[in-house]
Amino acid sequence: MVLVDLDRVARWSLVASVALLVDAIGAKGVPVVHATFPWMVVGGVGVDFGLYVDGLSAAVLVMVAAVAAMVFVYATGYMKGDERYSVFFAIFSLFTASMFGVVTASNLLQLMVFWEIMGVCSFLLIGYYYERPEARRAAFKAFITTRIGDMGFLLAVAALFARFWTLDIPTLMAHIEQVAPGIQGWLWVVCALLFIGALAKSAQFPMYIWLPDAMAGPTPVSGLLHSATMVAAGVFLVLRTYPMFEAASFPPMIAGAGIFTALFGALLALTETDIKRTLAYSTMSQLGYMMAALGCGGYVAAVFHLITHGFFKSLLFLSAGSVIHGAKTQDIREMRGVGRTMPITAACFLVGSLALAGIPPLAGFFSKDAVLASMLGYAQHVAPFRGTIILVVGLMTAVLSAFYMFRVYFGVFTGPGKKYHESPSRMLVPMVVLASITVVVGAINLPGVSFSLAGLLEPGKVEEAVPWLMALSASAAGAGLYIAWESTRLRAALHGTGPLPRNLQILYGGIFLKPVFFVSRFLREMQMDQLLMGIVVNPVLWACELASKLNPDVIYMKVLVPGVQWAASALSSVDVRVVDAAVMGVGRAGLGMARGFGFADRRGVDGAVNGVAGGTLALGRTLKKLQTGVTANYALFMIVIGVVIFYVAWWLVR
Amino acid sequence: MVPPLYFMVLGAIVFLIGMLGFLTRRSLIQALMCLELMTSAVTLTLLAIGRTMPDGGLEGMVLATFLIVIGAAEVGMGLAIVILYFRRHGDATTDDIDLLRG
Repeated sequence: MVLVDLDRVARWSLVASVALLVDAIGAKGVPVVHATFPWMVVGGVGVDFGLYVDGLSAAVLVMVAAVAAMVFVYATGYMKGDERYSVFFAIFSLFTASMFGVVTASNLLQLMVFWEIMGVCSFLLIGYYYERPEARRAAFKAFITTRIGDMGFLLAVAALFARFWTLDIPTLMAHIEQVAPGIQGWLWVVCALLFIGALAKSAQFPMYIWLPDAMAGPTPVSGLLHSATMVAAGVFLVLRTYPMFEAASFPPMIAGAGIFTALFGALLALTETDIKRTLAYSTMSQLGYMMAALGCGGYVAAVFHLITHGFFKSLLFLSAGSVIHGAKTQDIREMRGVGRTMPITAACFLVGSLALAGIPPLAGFFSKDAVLASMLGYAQHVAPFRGTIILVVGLMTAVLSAFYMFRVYFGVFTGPGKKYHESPSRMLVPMVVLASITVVVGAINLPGVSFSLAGLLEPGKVEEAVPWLMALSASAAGAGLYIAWESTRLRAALHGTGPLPRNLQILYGGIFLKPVFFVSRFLREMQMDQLLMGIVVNPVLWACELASKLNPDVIYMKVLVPGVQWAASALSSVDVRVVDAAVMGVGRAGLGMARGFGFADRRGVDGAVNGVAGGTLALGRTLKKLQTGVTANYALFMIVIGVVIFYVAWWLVR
Repeated sequence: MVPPLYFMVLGAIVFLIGMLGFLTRRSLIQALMCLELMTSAVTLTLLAIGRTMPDGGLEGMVLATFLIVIGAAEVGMGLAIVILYFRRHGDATTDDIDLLRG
């Protein structure tokens, strides 16, 4: 009954993207669709408009189409009864269309156009409940922060066009690879600018501040934008232009930024009390993983994780939305035992959490393992010191990811609680569908299997398996889960459900009191287990408290914004004083010139004219004296002149 | 024969006398008389030049005849103007004739 309601467009787009994917698999590396028509062309150079679908686009497209379809159906249930229902779906549809545009764009300008449309739709959607001031603020923050990144993007695109005269992606990448050795410095700067755009869109440090506040929008918005699409667009941009980054030797920067964000996000998520904000920080952290993988040369790993993350994060957001719908609150401290009365939601959330934590055999395990494998490869083959650090941080983040997710799961869904209403099927069915996909989607890139995502993206490559790493990552996930479980049990046992300081005390107390309370367990379990917890958890919790206080937000608000405002007012006063003075000066000069001309005109020209007239008058007055009126005078003149003429004629004739 | 040149010279002299007289006389009638002198001088000169022609001066005689007639008409008219002027102004001197003065 729900699938019948699925919007026809969503249905068709899903079908189309699957068809494209099948095509792409068959094509083995050759782009499936590269159709363009000239769009803005001036004198032979310009920008086209068209489609470009290769393995990467096809794979991402399927993920986006599937998630979008599910979220659409979910949203029809979630937004039911809202008075601006149609407005919501209008913007939502526009957003989805623009995401498709980004994925299938054939050139960077087109990509940017759709990227910007996404930014605007995100602004409109985050600020959908515009009556709430925090929603308005969040919408502005999101738009402006991503806009700063867009500036870098624009500069990079302009620079690339100025040098290569084309923005068509495959052509551009080929050109860059050819001339790369000669333009290293320039290329690095262009990559950095482009990367800033990706950073802002994907909420990496330091441009992540918009993502937690963006949770003020409706949950379906988070389910689509902040899991599978908009934040993925930043990673997608880097994926699309990866040859350029490689040519400029830029990936180490990506890796550094990514892994730092991964750890940072995980730390922030650990002590968050709002369920959606936790997921927001989690998104930031997982995107950091993808960036880190890219930085270590793990193209396939990054794509794999992008796809799996799209599915399970969307699932988590939708489940959270379902919980919020039922519990009427977003604070996890006020939700207990939800699982009893909302079993389907709980199960979906559990699947999502397992996937995010990276517990086999769910999707997240394989993709996270691929990410870690790429880091390992980097450490082994390229840069041992850096690579090892990255790998270690990656593993730490994996533990923390499991920890924070299960902290939420155990705290919210288990134990005794109130009676909640399960959400309507219109919301549940998409969640279940996404959950089932999440379980199996790991199969798209199984190590050692020839038909895989790797084969799609880099033809002929077979993913290799690193067994000990897989074991390590699985146990890292398991460790995190276990810590979360323990902390929740302790908390429940001691009835301490207050704010963070109390939790910390309880956990400290729990760690140290454990051996006393559970001596027998000590003997049974590995001692390494407890030691690890004692060494790891204390500093981690201290660090995460510190991290949550760091808050670049404040710095931005107190320093950056007033600074920019001051600069703007200074420039404006310069404009008033200098520019206006210049303009006035020109005006005055013109006036003076005009006066001068007028003067010259009056004195000179008029003088000349008057002079002529006066001269004529004077001549007349003089000549008038000749006219005496006396006939004899006239006769004399006649005679004299007659004589003169006679002589002149005589002289001439002679 | 007296050479025509002498007559031409005489004519010139008489013309000059007439011209000078015309320009300097106060009395209108005296001016008219000088005018008549000039006409006569011209006639004489004309006849003298005619004499130098191969046909024996006939052309000159014809022109002189014309001039006599013209001179008569001219005197008649001149006197008529003087009489009218006298009637208007009460005298016939050139002192106050300056209506054309600019």
